[in-house]
Amino acid sequence: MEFANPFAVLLMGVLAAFILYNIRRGNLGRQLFIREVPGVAAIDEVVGRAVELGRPVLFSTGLGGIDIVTLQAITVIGHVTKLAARFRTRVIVPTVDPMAIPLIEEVQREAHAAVGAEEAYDPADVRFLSGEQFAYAAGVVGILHREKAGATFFFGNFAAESLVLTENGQRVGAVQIAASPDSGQIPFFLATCDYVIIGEEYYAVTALMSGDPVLRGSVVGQDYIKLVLLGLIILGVVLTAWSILQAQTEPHFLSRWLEGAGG
Amino acid sequence: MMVAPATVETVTSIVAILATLAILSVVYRENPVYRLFEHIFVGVATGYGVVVIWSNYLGPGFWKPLTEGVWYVIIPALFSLLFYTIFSPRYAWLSRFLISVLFGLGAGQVFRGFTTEVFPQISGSFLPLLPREAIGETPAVTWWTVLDNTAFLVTLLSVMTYFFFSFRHEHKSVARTARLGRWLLMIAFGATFGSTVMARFSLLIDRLQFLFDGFGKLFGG
Repeated sequence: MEFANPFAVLLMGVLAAFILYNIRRGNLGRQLFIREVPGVAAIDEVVGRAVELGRPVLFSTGLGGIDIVTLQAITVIGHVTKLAARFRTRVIVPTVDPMAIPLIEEVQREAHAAVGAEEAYDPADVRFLSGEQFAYAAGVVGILHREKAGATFFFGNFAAESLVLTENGQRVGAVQIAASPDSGQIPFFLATCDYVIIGEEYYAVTALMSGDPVLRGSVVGQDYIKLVLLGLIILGVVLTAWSILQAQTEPHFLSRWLEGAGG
Repeated sequence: MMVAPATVETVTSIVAILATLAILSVVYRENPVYRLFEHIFVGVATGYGVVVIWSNYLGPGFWKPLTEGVWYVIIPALFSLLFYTIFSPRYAWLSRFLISVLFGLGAGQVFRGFTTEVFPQISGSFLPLLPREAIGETPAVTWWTVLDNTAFLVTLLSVMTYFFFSFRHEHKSVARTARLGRWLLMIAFGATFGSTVMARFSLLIDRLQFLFDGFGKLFGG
């Protein structure tokens, strides 16, 4: 069995400590700043547009099962449903994973109750379509056209079907907002959506929306980690230049430690 | 009664052509034919999914060992059944146990992934920014390589700066670096978009070829 080398263990410990430290700061009531992400500020506006048009909102959580990415999307569903339910606007959620249905139903039920719109809650708005990528896409396209969605949200992990979904969203005149931590589909969302939340911004969304100290603390902690990695990269490049000036052919110590991190 | 293979092939071709045209018809507008084939597609995919789950997972991983006397495969199977309690408001809390185990596994894999994927990527970014002659088996670094490496490092550092969230991008140097990162990201996304569109066109051409060949076979063209 392979194990991480001592340097990797130490570095991982330090990086994990940054996150725990910032979560602790958040829990102690410290106001942790997170800068505004343009796509997040647009969420209210996008829902408002659907309300104005008197058309439903469609929210797709992509192809992921129950994982961190989907759970973040489900949190956003709660927020969007709360905004929409206030004006008796439906939020239709087609999903690929039947296991996600009770979670989404619960979040939607709570969102309706929070704004006193219990009678507007309809469990039929959460629909399992298919676990197969393009069958799911065909189903979502059908819903988009039949329901004439006024706004669409694509939050989660998507693959080649992303363009099929968002192009059809464009065709029915929906205002679209997409978010994915996977950079592979971002180009297609950028081409077809009104607002796009890119890569790491995805994880900042729920922290910004909820203000939850744990989420905010972990986003700030991740920034600390990025700073450390940025420092390591600059140090590594300087050491490489130094090796060249010294006519050394062996990789320097930092390179060896990181390449042999193992695990 | 045996059906001739040629007949089966003809029927399959007709169904495939009809399905392709029906699904593509949504490009014009949503219509009853699209709706029919959309529902057939969703139904067939779900049925296919059930078969795949049985033949790839439950069959070889549970049923086959169980019928061969490996009785203890029942234990994980019973645990996995707890997932279905998610559909019962009264017992849904039981499913959280399994979900938490899955998240624990996921978190462990992220730790492992950090050391096996992210750390080597960091060391891979320690690129030479000075030219040098070849020494033994160590290859030379030309000015072109230096230029390439500089572009790579500028992109990496500026994109990383763009993704800092815990401070305002107000200082000029930070704001400009982050803006440069955003621009470079957009250039990369544009390149990805272009190359993928080309690949999608080849898929479309392949499908059109299938339709033309299918029509040719059916109508003797």
